[in-house]
Amino acid sequence: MGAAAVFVALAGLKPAATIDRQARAQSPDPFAGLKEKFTRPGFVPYPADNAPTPEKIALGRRLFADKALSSVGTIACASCHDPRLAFTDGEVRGKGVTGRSLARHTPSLWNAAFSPLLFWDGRASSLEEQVHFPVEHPDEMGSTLETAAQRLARDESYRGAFLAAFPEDPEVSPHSIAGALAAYERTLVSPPTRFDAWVAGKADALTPSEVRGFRLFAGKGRCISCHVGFDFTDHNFYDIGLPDGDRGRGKEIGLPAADHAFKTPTLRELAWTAPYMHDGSLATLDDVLRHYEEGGLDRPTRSRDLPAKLRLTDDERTDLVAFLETLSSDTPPQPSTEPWVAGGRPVSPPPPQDATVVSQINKTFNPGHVRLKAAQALTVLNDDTRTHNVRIFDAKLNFNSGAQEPRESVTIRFPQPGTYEAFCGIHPSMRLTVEVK
Amino acid sequence: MAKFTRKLWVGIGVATVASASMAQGIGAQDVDHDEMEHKAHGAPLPPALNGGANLNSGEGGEAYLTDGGPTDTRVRFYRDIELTRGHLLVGQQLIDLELWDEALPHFLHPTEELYGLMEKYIKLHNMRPFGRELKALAQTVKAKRKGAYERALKPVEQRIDAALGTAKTFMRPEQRFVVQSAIEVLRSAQSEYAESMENGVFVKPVEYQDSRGFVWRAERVIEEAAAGPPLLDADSLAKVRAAFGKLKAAWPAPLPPPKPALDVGEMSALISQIELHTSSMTR
Repeated sequence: MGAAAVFVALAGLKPAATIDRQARAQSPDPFAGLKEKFTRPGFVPYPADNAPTPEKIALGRRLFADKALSSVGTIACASCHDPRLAFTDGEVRGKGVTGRSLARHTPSLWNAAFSPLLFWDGRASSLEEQVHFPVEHPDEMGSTLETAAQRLARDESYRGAFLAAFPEDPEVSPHSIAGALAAYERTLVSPPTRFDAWVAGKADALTPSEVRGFRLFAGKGRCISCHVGFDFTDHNFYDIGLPDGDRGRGKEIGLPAADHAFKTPTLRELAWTAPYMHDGSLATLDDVLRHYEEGGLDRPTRSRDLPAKLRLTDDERTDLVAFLETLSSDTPPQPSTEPWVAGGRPVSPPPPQDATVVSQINKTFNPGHVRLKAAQALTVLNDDTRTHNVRIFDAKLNFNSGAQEPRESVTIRFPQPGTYEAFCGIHPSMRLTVEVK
Repeated sequence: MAKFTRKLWVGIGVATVASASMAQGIGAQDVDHDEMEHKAHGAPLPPALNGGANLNSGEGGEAYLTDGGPTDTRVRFYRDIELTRGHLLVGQQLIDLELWDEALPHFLHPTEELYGLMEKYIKLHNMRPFGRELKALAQTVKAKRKGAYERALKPVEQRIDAALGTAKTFMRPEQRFVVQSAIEVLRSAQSEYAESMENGVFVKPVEYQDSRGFVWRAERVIEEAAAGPPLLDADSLAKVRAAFGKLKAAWPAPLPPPKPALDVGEMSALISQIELHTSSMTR
């Protein structure tokens, strides 16, 4: 099963962590509906061809810390994603084997398992694919997975570890290196915090100030427009008006409407992962709030999801920061040890509907899985308030609608029977599966 | 860091006199402080206060009252803030020398030994907490990352400044509390300095470094206070500065010298001189 199918299916599954419904029935919780949006999942998704095993995860952890993956043996994954610093490096922009500053700020790895696209510009569609980029970037690790595989294969202990991790195909190869690293990275699930206890029904887990902050987060501040879900990201891409020339997602997908758009980062473990933003330009949470209050650069690509004018009082600012800090561990964070993290689960997509019109609304395709008869066309209508896009990148069909403004529709004809995966290039959490008979 | 043990160094009678008069002043201040705080928060006085049994109960001070230190929580809080800053200061000096492992205890001690004491006070007065920021800073020192360290220091400093800004609203006249706190910091420094030695030789470099950081901070605090309303005449200020000059000779570098430049008695005398010559600010 492809990664896309896994993530489409996620939306339809109920989380394992449930709110105390009995308690809520006795005393209605005004936040009940909102809390549902943030409940912790009950499993970690993984592609069917790379199921996690303890041996594979252990190998991935070892590789993650091994500088042998870089050209000159000086940089490991952990050099920039330092476990002591919550899998970041604390730098505005990290440095790799060449010592040159990298183009963007090192992103957090927390909850990467739940992300359909990786990197600030979303250029990798799975953790397995993602592994290639830093290893092979000339300024990061400056090597190739092929070279790394040859180097590791000369080490007897590594050969044993690969045999244990991949008993059916124990060759030390780019494929197995990527598989092991991805399996390890999927275990980097942020641990529960006081916020999770509050969501699960412990009313006094948050202070009044923190609850007021959550109200602002979900209301006046409109943070929830993009920072939603247990990992506080919709996995989409937005231009938030940061004043640098980096075209981000727009360059990646060749769509000017997505220029300067970058992936919504998770807010989990925020207190441990400063500085912030794709360019690392904001040093503190106060700086982040100030940015949103000032609004950033007003340009055509600036997201309409941002509040036009956000004016916070000093008390509101204090409350909002207090709430944001409840998403972080009180001590240096370690990956969650909840039982479901190690288990994982491959999942199936929801059943298809017979429909020839799909709506884009509230950053979803509705329905998200359709079945067409041969020669039927599919119309996709933007019923939303924001710019969307339909992208199909398949050997049978390479389709890009370009910018699709509200009320605009696009009609797609499929060249042959089969299953097609479509997504919005700007909001890639929007996934649409099309089956053509 | 050693516990805040109070050692009495005999031979400087003036210190005892000054301390006694200061203690009386502090007792009087407590009442004002509590009333001011409870008026500010619109809350009734807690039962213990109504009975007058413990002037600090209910306002976050009780956790402080177990270590033999100042009984005025304002002084206690300011002292602990400055001890924290002293740790960070000497830690910074060690990092400047690339001595990351030497520096690490000075970034762990504020959270392990001081923040827990201050936390009630911080919560009581709705100050923004900075315990996690201190821990994040310590992590960058563990990781030995200069850039990350410098960035993590900024929010710590911002929040400490903000907390102190709130704390100072309860200190009237401010200079008195500030200088009293600085004297308490010096006493902690003396205690640490004594802890660092056995048989006239430095055996605990961390305590030596603690005391260095504390003295450097105390000097800065007193200088800042002296720059305020002129409560200190020029002659007294010159004597305070001269005493600090002699005192600081005990710490020629962040790492201990082969032989102590001052013994503990000499140090106590110099601190007492500072206390005496700043007494016009603490009345």
